[in-house]
Amino acid sequence: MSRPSSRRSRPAILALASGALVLVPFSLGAQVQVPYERLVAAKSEPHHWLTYSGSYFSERFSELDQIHRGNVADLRVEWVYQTSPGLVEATPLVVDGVMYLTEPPSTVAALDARTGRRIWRWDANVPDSTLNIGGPRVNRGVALLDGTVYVTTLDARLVALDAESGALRWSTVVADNSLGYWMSGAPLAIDGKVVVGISGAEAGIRGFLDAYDARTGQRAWRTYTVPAPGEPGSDTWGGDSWQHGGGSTWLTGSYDPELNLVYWGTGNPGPDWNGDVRPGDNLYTAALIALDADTGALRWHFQFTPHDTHDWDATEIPVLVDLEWQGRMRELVVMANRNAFYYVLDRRTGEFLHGQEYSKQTWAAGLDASGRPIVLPDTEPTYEGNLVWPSLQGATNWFSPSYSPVTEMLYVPVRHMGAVYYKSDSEYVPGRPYLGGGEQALAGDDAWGYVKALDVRTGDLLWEHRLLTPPWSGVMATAGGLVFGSSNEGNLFALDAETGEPLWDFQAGAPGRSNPMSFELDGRQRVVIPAGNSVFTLSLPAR
Amino acid sequence: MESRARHRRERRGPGAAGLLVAMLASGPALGAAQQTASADELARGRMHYVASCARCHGVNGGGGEGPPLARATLPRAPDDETLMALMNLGIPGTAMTPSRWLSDEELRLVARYVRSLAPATAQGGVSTGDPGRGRALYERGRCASCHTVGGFGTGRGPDLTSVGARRGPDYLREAVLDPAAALPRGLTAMPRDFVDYLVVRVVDGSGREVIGARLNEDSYTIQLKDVRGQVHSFDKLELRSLEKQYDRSLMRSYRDTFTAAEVDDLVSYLMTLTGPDVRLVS
Repeated sequence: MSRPSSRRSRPAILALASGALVLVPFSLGAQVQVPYERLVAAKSEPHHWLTYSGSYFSERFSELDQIHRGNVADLRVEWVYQTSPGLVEATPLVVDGVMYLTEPPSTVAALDARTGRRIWRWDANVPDSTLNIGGPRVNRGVALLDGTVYVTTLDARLVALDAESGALRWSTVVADNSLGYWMSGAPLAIDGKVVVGISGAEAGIRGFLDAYDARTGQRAWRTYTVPAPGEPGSDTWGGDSWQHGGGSTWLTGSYDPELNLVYWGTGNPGPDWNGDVRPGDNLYTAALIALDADTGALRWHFQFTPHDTHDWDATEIPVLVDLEWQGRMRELVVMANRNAFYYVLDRRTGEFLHGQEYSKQTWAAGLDASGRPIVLPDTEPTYEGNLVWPSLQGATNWFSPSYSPVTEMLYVPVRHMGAVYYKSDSEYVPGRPYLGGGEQALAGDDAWGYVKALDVRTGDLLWEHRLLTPPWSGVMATAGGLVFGSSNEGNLFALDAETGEPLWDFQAGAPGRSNPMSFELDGRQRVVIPAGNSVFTLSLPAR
Repeated sequence: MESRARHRRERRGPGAAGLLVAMLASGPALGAAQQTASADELARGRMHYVASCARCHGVNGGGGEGPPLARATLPRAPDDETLMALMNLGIPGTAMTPSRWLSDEELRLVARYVRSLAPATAQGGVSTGDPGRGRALYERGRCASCHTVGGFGTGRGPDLTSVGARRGPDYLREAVLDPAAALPRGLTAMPRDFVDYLVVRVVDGSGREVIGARLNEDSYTIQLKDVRGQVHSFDKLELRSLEKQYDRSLMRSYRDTFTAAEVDDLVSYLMTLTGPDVRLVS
């Protein structure tokens, strides 16, 4: 984990809890220091929450167990923070007593994690004219590295702020918003770099994944998710359709420091629902890509939905797990995909190991030996309309799953919902929607939701907890044997991680639309679940 | 499940494409846009609607991630000008994004198309009865013991003050004769798209049975109102049974009470109820 100090300006020495001495920048007098080594070893400090998904492996699992099955019924609100108006889809980070979260559309706030009182706030002041075709004006959170907070903005900038004061260090334009590029995802900070994805497939962008020098904001590499003519995979695009081929990268990926690979899901091809103009498999859309973290070079890819015509982005969180697999330890990456199938891959090679349906779907007879879907006839969108499960929002969506190494279950919020898919003609015009159709989802009493517990090796259903409507919020499992989540109807809840039995719920009065996280301060575990514009921080009564 | 399927069919009606064909074929015979929008304008409006709006509001305006637009009145946009401004600027604090790529002319076409999506329940049928006799029947039938008009009556069921603007004669006739087949949506606190006044039968932990109309529900609780107007709140986990009766309504059928001519009179009276008649008290 040592690096040449020449990469750093103003190096200083900081003693870590482990006793190791490492070189870090910006540390003269600084209170906030999250060097790369702390991010790698995030599991060793479960009282903090250092990355969007809690760790580079993206388990969204808290090792804290002070709140457990036996006392969760006593959980109560400790403090509430009110954000600016808009939809809150952010996961806060907490380190050394400070909470960093984002507010809609592109605002960062630092709070006293003990009381919720604000320390500083920075607003990107994105223009009202900013285009966000294909999704709402949200932001899902920040990344921390050394003494800097990184955030993406709706108008497609990557911004670095001083973690102590919120002062702007640098701001880099990632892409041209007037062409439909925009950003909402939390960055992924790795060793000296900040990796960010892009949105805009609904406007016919050509997707990519970028890495920027954490210190200067200079771009380190860019890897397009849609190959240009002559590049590998370009034969999966007819004509010049690749130019507007989509493949957004709008959520946050995972990272294996040992393999030095970044894992990132890619979104739908463009236009969404009319595939006639883009014959072929449309690589590398609706896929998982593994990139060399130093160069951005594509090491392997696995496409879940070749030639997608239902907007089934594969941007869902790839969860990295090390497990015994058929008699030997293997490094795996698993994903509950928007297309209603669950996948287990070898994360060194991308080899397909196993996959099966985890939610109702009517578009594929199953997966073949290579993991490719066996697509059923007459399941594409039509001009007249065609009922297919799942809906365009998928069997799951941006909100996070959670993996518990204790139960070896993957907990997935599931949208049990079908839709009538329509196709229409679509012409690419810069900065305008490029969709080629739409859907009419089944709703009301005809759709509902679940939290499902899947056997992480097989995807077999071990339990399910029904929700009134298809959820828009993630889950977090804890070492206390609990799974936390929230519902559209304002229920914050805790389930028994082994059985799914509901053990606690609280009516928050506004829809849950975020991912839970947990931290410990002053010896007390807190669970954070936003609902509406309120960020609820929950704990047990003081003894 | 069968009753769910029935509701689904009813709600989707002929489907978006069928609806469009019907609208285009019958030209100015349908919809609020009938006086102003030509078939060609509607077709162009639909093209822009599908490209810019359908992802959230549904191809046929039935809603989805966004609220349904296939309704007689849009709460936030009483007229085309407001609707165009709303599309242009978005609705701050919601998922409604500004559609800044649409020109003024395109916004106008989309607005007219959205107006044309007003459901058949607001359009279908004719009423040939006598509103005056209908009003007397409304009183004779003791409708005000469950409904309100202009602030008078009992709010056990839907307020009917503007029902003539929201519904059409065919729908109202069905509501009088077969109330369970015409359960409304969007009037109570239930999440949009759920049927309102759904009859639910529960048996609580002590064995007590309660039958009432659903007022609201979440994953862990349900709120019912019984025929006497009493509100009941239950934790679902503590119930012995919970049964949703999609084929029932707490409103009785008036099929055996009124003659067909009298039902026409009643429907004609209801069609005159087109807006709030607020009484100012000084």
